[in-house]
Amino acid sequence: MNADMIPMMICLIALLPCTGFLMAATPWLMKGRECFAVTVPETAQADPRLRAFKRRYSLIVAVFTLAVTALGVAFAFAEYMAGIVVVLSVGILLLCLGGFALMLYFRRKVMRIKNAEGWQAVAQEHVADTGVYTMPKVPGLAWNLLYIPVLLVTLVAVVLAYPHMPDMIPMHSDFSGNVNSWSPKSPATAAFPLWIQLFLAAAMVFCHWTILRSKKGANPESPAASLWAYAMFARAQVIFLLATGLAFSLSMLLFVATSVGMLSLAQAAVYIMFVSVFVLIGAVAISLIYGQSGARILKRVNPAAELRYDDDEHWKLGVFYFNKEDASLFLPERFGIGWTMNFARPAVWAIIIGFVAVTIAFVIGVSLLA
Amino acid sequence: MLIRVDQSLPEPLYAQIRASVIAGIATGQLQPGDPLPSVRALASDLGVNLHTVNKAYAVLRDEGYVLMQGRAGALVAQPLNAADPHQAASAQAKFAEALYRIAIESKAAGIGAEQFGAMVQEQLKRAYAVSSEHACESEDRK
Repeated sequence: MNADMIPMMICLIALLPCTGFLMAATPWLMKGRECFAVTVPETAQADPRLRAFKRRYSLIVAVFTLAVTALGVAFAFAEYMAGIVVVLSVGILLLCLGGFALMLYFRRKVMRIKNAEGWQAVAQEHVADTGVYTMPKVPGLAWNLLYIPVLLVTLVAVVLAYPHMPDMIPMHSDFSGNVNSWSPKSPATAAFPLWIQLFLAAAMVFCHWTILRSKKGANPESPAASLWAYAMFARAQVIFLLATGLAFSLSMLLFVATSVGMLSLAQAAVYIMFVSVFVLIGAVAISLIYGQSGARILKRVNPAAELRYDDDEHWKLGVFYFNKEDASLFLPERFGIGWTMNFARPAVWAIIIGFVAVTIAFVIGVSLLA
Repeated sequence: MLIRVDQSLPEPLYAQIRASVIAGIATGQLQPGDPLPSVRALASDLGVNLHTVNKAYAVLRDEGYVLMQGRAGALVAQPLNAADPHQAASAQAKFAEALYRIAIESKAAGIGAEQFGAMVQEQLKRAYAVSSEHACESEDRK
């Protein structure tokens, strides 16, 4: 097999199936009081119709994922590169859009059953805990100081390596190891790995901050248990985020090694690919173990027959939260593992625009260097 | 301690938060010096406006249940009678006046003195029994 195909193959046999199977598992990972982004009593999860919807959704997504992956692998054996590229880009796009459409389809069906069964909230209750110290502790932002030693080590490495760097530093290569882009040696280009580390650290700190700031979304039917499960989930996600960020940040040291010819760019990239695959597997494992907001670790608790709040009216298309009266900027997602934003808050739009602007500035800055 | 609000009730949300904190203090689940959540975090978790929590904390502060300490945020205050005797006397006078208003209303509604006395005893038991139960629990935890 051609070495060019290594990253493609990794996407094909790791990224695509991981994304697909996680999507297929999603209906089973959500909180007991939600089904296809509709608020239902926890006891309704045992309803054979809802179970059938979830099974059908999972089956369709899983079969599609398998088919696309198989097609990609077939192209790989035929060494048909263009085919793999199409399978990957179109496949992942179709998976995401199709999964969303399928969710909306079953959401409508669940809403119809909800109306017919008269599953209505008896109250509009929200619960907060004052005794945060009795809950599992979510690591604080100070843990991000760990990026500083990594940055310093990289800085020292860059300074030490600088005199040994060639006049033209390799910036890009294909996977056979043929360098196809160089930049004239300068402190700014030599510090390339540092720029990436800084951007990565900023992005990770931002994600960490959103988790700490998020609404916890306690179930009023079982507030203490659901808050505990949420804290466990947030803790696992933050630890995973820190580990991932530090692993990628440390990998940037490899690029310093490539600039003095100790390592080829292709070798460094293969290493980063392997880190990515482990991160992907870790993300899937955390999702399966904890479920959204820790829903999976509460599975054995008696399901509640009563609904003590229902905020479906604020969730547009099931997953986009708009609530002007809610001070939350960030809150747990409704269909998927992770967090989303309260789009009715102007601060959220400022954050989105700021984030996009910083990313664009970074990409432009880096491409000017390269 | 859990703070609960129900948006379907006619009682304003800030008043519900206030009642929740006061109940927590009365039952001993909130001890003097315990921190309360930041305004932002509480508003987010309860899904309400920042002003609602600010208002509840301001009322609690005026009533002497909560202290605001700069960056440390809101803390549960010392019980009223443990503070200076003058403050305790004025608090007692306030509650006596409130009790009188309820008594006079129930008299006007035709409830006899004995009946009212029984009601008072019953509510007294309800409020203070819960408190001693929770006090035992918090002793056990220590």
